[in-house]
Amino acid sequence: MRMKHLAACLLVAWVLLVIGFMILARTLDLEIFFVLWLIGILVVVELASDHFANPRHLQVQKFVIAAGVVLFGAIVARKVLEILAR
Amino acid sequence: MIRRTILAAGVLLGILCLAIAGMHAFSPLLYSPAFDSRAPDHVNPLALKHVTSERSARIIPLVADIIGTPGSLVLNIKSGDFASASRDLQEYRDSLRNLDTLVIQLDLDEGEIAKFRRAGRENAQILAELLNGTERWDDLKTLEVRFRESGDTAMETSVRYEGETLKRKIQDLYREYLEQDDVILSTGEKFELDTSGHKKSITEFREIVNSITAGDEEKEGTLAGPGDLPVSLNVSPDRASYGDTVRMEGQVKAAGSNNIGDIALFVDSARNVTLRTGPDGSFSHSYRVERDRAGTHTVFAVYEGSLFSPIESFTVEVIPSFLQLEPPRVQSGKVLCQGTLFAGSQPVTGAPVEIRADGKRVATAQTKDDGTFSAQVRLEPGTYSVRAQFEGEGFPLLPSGSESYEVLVPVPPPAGVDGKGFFTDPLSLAVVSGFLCLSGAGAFYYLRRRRHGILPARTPPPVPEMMDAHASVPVGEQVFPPAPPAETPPEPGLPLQEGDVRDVSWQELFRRLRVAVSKVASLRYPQSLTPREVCASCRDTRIREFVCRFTSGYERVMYAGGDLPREEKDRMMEAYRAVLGILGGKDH
Repeated sequence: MRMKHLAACLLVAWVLLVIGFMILARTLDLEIFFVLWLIGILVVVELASDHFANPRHLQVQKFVIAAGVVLFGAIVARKVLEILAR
Repeated sequence: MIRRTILAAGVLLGILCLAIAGMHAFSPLLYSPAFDSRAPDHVNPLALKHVTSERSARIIPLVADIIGTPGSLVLNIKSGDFASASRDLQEYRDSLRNLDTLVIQLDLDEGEIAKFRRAGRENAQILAELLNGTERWDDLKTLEVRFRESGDTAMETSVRYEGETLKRKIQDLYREYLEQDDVILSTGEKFELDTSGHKKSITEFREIVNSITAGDEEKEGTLAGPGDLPVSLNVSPDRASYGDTVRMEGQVKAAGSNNIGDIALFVDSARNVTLRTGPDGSFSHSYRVERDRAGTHTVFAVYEGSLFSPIESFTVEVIPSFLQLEPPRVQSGKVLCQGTLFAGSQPVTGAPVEIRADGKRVATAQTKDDGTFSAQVRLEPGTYSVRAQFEGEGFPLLPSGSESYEVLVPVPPPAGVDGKGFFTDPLSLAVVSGFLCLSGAGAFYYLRRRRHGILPARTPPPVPEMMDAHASVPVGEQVFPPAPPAETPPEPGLPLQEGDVRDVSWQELFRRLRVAVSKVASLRYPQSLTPREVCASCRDTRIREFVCRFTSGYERVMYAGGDLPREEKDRMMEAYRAVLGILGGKDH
């Protein structure tokens, strides 16, 4: 199995695990799901990246991660506003 | 074809999922048992059971602590171990505070738990006063003996009066403690908890009261009657309620003086007011009942610090309070709640009134002199059941609540529609901008950090002039084959020697091939790659066959120590040209 296929499988497994635990906990929260997905893809990309090679599929992933980090900042800002509004 | 179809289906599915998720971006909590446990039109027994068991598991230990702690607390007070009693009291208060926090977290502010919390708070207040009162009682007994032995009659009388006040106060505390009994025991039985601690505290409390009363009965005869004292005092009426005025009047009948002087009135052993007597020694004072606890209150007067009146008393009775809430009005996202609090015909002043939305306290307003209160509450868009509640703590009044109103808080218009909203709120704007800048900087750093290893875009190396370029290309600029015979590609049968210029030509060809391949495969450090790594790096590409053919021959030339036949060398050159041709060489 090639590295990128393995990475994709790992990420899908992580996402399914998160969804499974959310269902078991009877709480479905998109924010938590998004943050856990972001953590998962960060770890997978770091593990899959080679010191000597930077394949094209990983180059795309890093832009996805960068967008995810910006979205994460928006989520944190939203939470801070909620706390301030109390 | 199948692979592309699967890929396209996956992409479409992903876009669909993102679109559905995006629809819920502003309310990301899709489901929780609290949402589903109870709704206006249905009850989910499974979710309700889950919520109830979760709440019970967190509340029961605290309730058990609150029920059990008073047992040891009152026992310590009775045995005179006031340090341990203080620790127990602090523990009791901490448990109550934790319960308050938990109730807010779990959104449980109604019903049994609310009554239990109220009773617990009352008991904490009673036990604190009992602790202070008992400690003071012990001090008073010591002081009384000391003043009696020293012959200081005035101080002895003062101490005795204070003791009398204290005795009545502790009796009242016991009665109030018994009033909380039902709620505490019923809650304990409901949660199937051990209530022996609370029952034991009642027994010990009664014994404390009995011991104080018994000790005082011995001194009953020593207290002077009204006729013996030079200061008379009359208190009327003897029963009063919130807002009533109690008249305290009397006369100084000291012989041999003009009877004009200062007279201090003490209510519950605390100096309430100092008056100037009239020419005939009379005095009067109107005392308004407001924040006085329900029960008996003692009054006595002291003229010039030495002459005492008899002890009189009046009783404050608990009466109902009436809380009225006007229909709440929604103004620019805030709910304006106004109303009045009365006790009979008397307005209640300075009383805390809680505003509750769906049973949860959202604001506390203070009543003014005319009994009115007003509070502005910010609520999220939605429908709420709003009501006001007065707990009556600290007042001789029963708790009361207003009627409930359904209030609809509309969704605010989007920003920019009316010039108000998110983008005009500087705080919101600053917070969002700040976090977006921070996260943007983080994302930029992440991208930059990864860019260090990316190779700069380079054009593929030019295909060298081949066999027909012998003399036209200057030595040093032409890679292969060099113009002189000594710089031509290795001929069959010629041994390769170290430092031979023909070896340099093959090496240069390999270096160029390696750079070209590394660009295709995005290899970071091409100079470090071996021929086999170069071959392996272009798997699944069209150039793989040619690259591997070249590197295979190159290995044999460089490492096997032998020479290659002319046909083999030609195949290597063809492979080289093919690779560069596929990658966009100038001869294609």
